[in-house]
Amino acid sequence: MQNETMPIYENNSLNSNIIEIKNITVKYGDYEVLKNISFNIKKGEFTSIIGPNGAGKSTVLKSIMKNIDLSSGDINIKGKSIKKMSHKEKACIIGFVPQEFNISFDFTVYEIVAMGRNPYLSKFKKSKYDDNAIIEESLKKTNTYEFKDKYFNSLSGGEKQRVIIARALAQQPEILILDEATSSLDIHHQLDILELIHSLNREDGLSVVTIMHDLNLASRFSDNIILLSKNGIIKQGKPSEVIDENVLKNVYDMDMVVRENKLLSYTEIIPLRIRKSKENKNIHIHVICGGGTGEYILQKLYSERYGISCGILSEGDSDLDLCRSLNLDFVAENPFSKFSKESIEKNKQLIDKSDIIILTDVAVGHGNLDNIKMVENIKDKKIIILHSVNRDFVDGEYEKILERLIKFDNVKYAMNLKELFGFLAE
Amino acid sequence: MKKNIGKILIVSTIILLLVIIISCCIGAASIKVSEAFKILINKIFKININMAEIADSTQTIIWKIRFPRILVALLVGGTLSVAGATYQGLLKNPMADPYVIGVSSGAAFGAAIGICSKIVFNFFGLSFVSIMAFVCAVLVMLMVYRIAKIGSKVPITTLLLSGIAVGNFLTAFTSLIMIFAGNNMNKIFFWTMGSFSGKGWEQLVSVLPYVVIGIIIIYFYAKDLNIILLGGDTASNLGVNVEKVKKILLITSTVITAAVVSISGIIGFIGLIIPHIARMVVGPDNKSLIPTSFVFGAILLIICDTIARSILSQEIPVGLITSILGGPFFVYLLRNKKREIN
Repeated sequence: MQNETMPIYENNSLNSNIIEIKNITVKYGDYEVLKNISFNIKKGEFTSIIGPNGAGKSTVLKSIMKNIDLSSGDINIKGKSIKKMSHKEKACIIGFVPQEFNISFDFTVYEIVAMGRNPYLSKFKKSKYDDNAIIEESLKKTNTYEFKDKYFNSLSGGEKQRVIIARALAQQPEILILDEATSSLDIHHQLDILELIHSLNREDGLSVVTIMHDLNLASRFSDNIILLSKNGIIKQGKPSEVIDENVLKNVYDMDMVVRENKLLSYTEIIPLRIRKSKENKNIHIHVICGGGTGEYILQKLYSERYGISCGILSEGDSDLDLCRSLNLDFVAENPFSKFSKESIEKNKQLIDKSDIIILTDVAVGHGNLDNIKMVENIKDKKIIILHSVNRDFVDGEYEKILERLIKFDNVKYAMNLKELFGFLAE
Repeated sequence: MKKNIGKILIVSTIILLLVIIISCCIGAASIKVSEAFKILINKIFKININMAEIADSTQTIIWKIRFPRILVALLVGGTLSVAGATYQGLLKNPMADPYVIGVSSGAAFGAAIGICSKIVFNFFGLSFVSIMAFVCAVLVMLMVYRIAKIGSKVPITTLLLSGIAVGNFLTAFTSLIMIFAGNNMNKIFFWTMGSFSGKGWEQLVSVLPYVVIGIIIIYFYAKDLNIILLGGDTASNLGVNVEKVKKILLITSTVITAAVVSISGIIGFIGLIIPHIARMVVGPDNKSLIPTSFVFGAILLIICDTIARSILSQEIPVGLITSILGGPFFVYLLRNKKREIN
């Protein structure tokens, strides 16, 4: 019995495949969660599996752990098919850390970690290992020794995860597999756990396979990233190869910026907006805004992929900053100065190009009254005005313009944002 | 921690012995503790003590009637508690008891048929009624297991639900039998409430081997049961062959339950509350929980049986006593524990 659990391939050189996923298909009922997935995990590497919810990341791990049956295909661990592997044999090679772990019975931390020794214990023979020493070492490595006699259930989330990692270490595994082990923790404890796992990988040579939701953490700690989507494996490689704007934005269906984090030297991503619509709409909208009144409207129009322009905005206006970060067309002027002729000309071009004009609840003073005057005689474009009180700072001149505008057929007056987007959808 | 559990076991075993001796003295004929003690020492250890002053009838009452009956209660109480602890662990459900997957309904159905069939024979100390109860209980367990099995796995929820379904189905038939049973209705009714009346050495010896082997097997798997408490997938990741252990423990605990129920009838509550009480004292580790449950269960059932046979001139079914005494006691413990947590 014990011989079976000894490592089979002692001479595996670094970078040989410790896990080989060979064309596996997994079904829940008739639904195929994984279809013909193949990939390898190299010995000694820190491998992250990333991908959107529902891509089957956890199912991959469950398949490796034999917690779920394969419909077809096979998985080799250290060259041996898991189908031919006993639970004990597998537990001597792989330690598993689930997303969250709760028990309804009051076991102490020590008792929980001691259960990690189970695969090495025989019912009939005395253990040939110094189990207590191994358990204590696991506790110390994970900084859980000080509360070994406490009840597991009395610990905080971060402490619980460390205990579960200690239990996995007590298995003296060669591979540590984690299913989003940090997703329920705050950033301090997320980093705490990841640094622990990273050191186990770098210093103790454990091969690590983990599901990660935080792409930046995945990029920072991994040697190798596997990007899984509903269509299977999209990409596998170094973080700099997988954390790529063009690869990720389609898989996650959102806009993002990828750049080099110079501070910690890894590739980082900055998520921008969810893409509500996949294709650009052939409708151009000119938004007259300012002072943050355009913030929500611009972002929403952007995510629905309208063509957008803004004008004229003053430097330092938050709406202008938004235009810049979303890469929109805009006309900008220095604050507290009259609009220049060039700016007005440029703005007119933007208005001419547009199909719809939106006038937000921006406060109008002498500085930006020209923005309104530029659209007051337009009859061939839809104009949507958002209701607001206290917007006139030009002694009633703005209100007068609005009163006149409302009478036109091409002008809609929206009492709130919901109505505004309703008019837009028409 | 380990030492504490050893102490708890030693103390509770001493209490058990005291309860046995005191129970020997209580009854219709009152017997002195010293006399009972002498008789037991003399008979068990074959030590010659001067027994001249003790009447033969007293010796007969102790050795032929009360002592064996107490031992049966000990065995039944201990076994039901061990089975209850096992079921609660396996099903990860604190409401589980040895009857939860329909064993009691099967036994009652079998006993009802046995009582009505009027077949009377004695097979190694077991009556036809006992044999029918045992066989039906085991058959029900196998049936429930088959129904619940999906592929190679037996999900706990399906197991519980099919146990309840089959149990209710059979209870309906037992009730039907009772309606048409005439004079036997009483017998069936009393059987379903459990009694040690008239039970002695023969019954004890006939089920002892099954029960002893069964409890040893369960104790053997106590460590695996601990790990199964953490959840099926976790247990399998820690190297436990969950389905195999589940199967072995399920069958073993059902067989020992069926064995003791076949001689005592259905005694409720012990198998539910004793594991909880034991867990409050020694914690959830099944290596300590199983022996402690056995001793606690034995003590409680001996006390209940002594009350059942001595409190009124007519004997009361012991199952009623366990519920009447055990219910409030358990509620008291629950309230106490709740206060501790708060």
